[in-house]
Amino acid sequence: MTSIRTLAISLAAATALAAPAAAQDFYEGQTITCVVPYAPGGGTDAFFRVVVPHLARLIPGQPEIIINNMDGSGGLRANNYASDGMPNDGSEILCAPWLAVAQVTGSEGVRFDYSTMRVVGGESSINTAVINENTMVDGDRSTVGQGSQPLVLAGLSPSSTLDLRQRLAYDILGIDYLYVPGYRGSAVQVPAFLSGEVSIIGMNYGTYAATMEAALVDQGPGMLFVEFPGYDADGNPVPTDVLVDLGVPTIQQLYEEMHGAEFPSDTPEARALQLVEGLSSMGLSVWLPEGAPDEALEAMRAGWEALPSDPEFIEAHEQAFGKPVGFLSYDQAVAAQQGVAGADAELVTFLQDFIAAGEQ
Amino acid sequence: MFEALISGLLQVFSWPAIGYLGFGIMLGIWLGALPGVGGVTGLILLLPFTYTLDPVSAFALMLGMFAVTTTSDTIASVMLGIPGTVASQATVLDGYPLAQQGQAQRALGAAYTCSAIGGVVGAVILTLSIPLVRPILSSFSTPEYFMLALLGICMVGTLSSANIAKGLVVAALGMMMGTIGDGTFNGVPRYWFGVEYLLQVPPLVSVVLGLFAVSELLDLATRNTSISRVSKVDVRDGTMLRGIKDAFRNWWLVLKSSALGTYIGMLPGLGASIVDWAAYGMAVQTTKGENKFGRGDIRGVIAPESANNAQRGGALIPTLTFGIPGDFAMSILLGAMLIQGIRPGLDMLTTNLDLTYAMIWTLIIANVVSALLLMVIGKQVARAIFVDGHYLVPIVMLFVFMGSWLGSKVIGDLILMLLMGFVGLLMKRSGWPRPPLVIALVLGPNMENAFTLSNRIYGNFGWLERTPSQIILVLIVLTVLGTILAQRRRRRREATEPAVEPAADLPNLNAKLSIEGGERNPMISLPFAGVLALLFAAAAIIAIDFHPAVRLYPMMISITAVLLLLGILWTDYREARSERVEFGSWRMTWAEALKKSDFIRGLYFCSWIAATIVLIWLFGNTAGVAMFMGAYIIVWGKKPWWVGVIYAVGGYAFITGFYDELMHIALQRPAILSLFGGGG
Repeated sequence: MTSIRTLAISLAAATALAAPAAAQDFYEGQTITCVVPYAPGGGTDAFFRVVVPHLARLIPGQPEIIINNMDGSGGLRANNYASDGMPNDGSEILCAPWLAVAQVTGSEGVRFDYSTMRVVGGESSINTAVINENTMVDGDRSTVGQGSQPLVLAGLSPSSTLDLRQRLAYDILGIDYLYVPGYRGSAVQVPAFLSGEVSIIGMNYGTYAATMEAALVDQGPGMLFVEFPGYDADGNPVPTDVLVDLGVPTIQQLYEEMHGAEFPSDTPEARALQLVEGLSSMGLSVWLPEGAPDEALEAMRAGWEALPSDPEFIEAHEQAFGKPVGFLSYDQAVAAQQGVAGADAELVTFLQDFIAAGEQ
Repeated sequence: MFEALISGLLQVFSWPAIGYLGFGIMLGIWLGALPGVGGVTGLILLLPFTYTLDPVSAFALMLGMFAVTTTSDTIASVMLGIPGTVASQATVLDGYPLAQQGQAQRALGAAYTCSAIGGVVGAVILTLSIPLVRPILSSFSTPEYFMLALLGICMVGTLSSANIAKGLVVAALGMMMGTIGDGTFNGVPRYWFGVEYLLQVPPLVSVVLGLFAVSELLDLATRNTSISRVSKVDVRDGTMLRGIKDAFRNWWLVLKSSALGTYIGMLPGLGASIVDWAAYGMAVQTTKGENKFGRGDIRGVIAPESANNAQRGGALIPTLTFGIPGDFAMSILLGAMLIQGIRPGLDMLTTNLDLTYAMIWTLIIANVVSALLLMVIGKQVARAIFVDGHYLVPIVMLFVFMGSWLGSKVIGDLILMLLMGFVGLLMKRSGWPRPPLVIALVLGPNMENAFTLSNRIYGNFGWLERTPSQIILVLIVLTVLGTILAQRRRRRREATEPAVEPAADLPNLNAKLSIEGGERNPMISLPFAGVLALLFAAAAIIAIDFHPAVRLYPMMISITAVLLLLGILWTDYREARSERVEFGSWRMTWAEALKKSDFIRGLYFCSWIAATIVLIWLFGNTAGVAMFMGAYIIVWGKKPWWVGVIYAVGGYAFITGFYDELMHIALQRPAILSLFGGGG
């Protein structure tokens, strides 16, 4: 065990040392402000509070990193700030969920542009949903909608990624459900689920493992429903090991089970689903503003890329979130960033109409 | 279970947990006493320090600090008339008049005793009620959360003022402020007029500090007086011991309020904001015979202070067992649990039961110890009510400026504080109660959310067919009707009997007491009501273009408010006309109204705040506030220049040390640097 630990530490150190000399001392004795767009205590804040001490340790020069919770406007404020107010000397970074869908669909209040900002790295998210088992017969997922409990989807808002992917997927599955947006946060969702008012809640696996499993599954009628997988470069869905091990099918597998036919990949809904997954392939991410010095980016990257192999961080992450670290490589993060500018205009219009339909 | 109980206690008393608990308590007392800071800020401050601690120490530190802020926040409520936190708003109604009567020590003594008892009772009830949490949570659906919030708002609207219509209109104003920004249903912003700051609901802390602090400080600044309107020699029997005795004499009220606080605390999203009002309402409605509620009745301090400490225990349970953070503070605590690798859930009642008990013991110990400590230092604290107000104003303003800044850390927060300060001044001086605005702002967004969701699921108002909702509706009607009848009875009694002067038992009470919603000035109230009517009408017209799902709520509130305002305008007009008869002409009446309301000096005071905001923008928070402090002492307070220098340097050092270095609050970057090309 000790030798594995030593090896991992050496690897982490080697990655950090691989940064060019100029980046080595760029942050020495400096303080970095990590701007988190949500209030303390939420999932995003908890993630970065776990990450930040280790990131500070692994960035060459070992700067101090402090968290500034710049909450407001559903995360828009901090993102806008990163675009037009943040100093670009490397002293501040944006540590936030990636709001690419909001930018692409032109949500009101969006002034940020990810294509001009400098991505440091990101975390891949695992997306799933919890469902009331009484909405199906004997817990058989392929009978969803035939149980005693009606299907009511507790949504956030029609433009949120979480809702978009679920509505698109359930429409493709051909499920008859009532979509009710406005359930913001577990304080509203959990009582509604336990009282039978709603029966499906979408979430990422981190949130599920951290709090929702105990509330909805252990003490309520919930079970994991499906996985909404990401796609590889060839457009094939890529299920995650965590959910495969738990026996949770992907939305594509469930479709095949329900309809005995292959998942349609050419319908507007299916293509829009793929676009949404592409635009949310990076969950939580770290950004420097436009014009930030190369040395800052290199030093940040060195720290960020060292994290997934750093044993101390791995232990802290697993302890906090009960799941393995899932980080995108720098190239994957850059590819995700480039996807924002390359979104198909026709699909974007489809998504905008789909969002508007969710408000009806 | 017994083993876990003892094990939990031993863990709290083991080193280093007990040390962290002690530190948490001291910090909590300090933070709770600072207006605008409070427990939530403390939790944010402590969160990063808990990484390296073991779970018991981490929660001893955080919960120890958090539990006691509702004890020490009484200081600002009683001494300054500024609610230390939202949970101590109701305490202001009677606590502040008591301080003005020179009985701050008595009020504080009663408050501390009740806080300790409330905290302990809350922890005990919470232990016994753990099995009830699931049924309680499951029996309340979204419509009931809406109805409970409405009940809370009606309670405050009717209880906090002699004029129920004004109370309800102010509540409507708070509810409408809660609709500003990001819509809860479809994410489309409303009432934001292209201003990014208005994409969010106005931050509560800036609203509270503006609404209460500015007008109370103006009193101190302009009336050349101390907080107490009577001198020290005139105060008899206002000691802390009397307050403690008051608490024990009203033991049944203390127990009832504590139980109520615990159970309300269990309901997510409602707890902290309505618990003090629910208890206050219960005290008012169950008190028989003569009372002085709103004018310095000790029971008006006892009930909310028992309940708000008990609530902390209640709120903990859904967080621990279901991972449902009932309020913002609990969500920070939940974050701390996750960082510690502790998952909420049934484990907290089985394998981790000792940790749950350790948390409950922490609450009990913290509540008792803090009350004892505050009683020891309380006498010294209470002396401040006899100090020349000019020495206090700059110090409190430092916390007002910095507390408002904590809202969202932009200049907009300070402008909001100034605006609310001006509005609060008008309200206070013309008989409009301020508390309903705050509670409606707190509950408003969740209420609208619940309203929209209920309509979507059960059909428009179809949810009113649900029995639990109907029961709460009956309670709402009873609350409003009960208060109207009680007020009528009181008015009739006052008309037939000689008026009971507030604090008639005190000699030489020349200065007028500050009774919430108690001042009459129709010439100020009339235009204020007119402006409000226009604003509500405009809001209703703007709402026509909203998406149907988010249109109903703001329209319903605005139209109700306009109707109520028509009645208020008519009453104010009649009162104004009778004043005109008294003073001979409209001009004289207007001049008299301005004099009575201190309007011009109020504007002057507001201009000082505005100038300070410009200074903060130009030179940053530290220099800007320090300049204000020095200038106030020398120019306004007419004190020697060196006192001004001491204040300025002290203020500078405090902001740098506490807010910047310790709390790492992001401060304003001095605009002067970029104006002169300094970059940055």
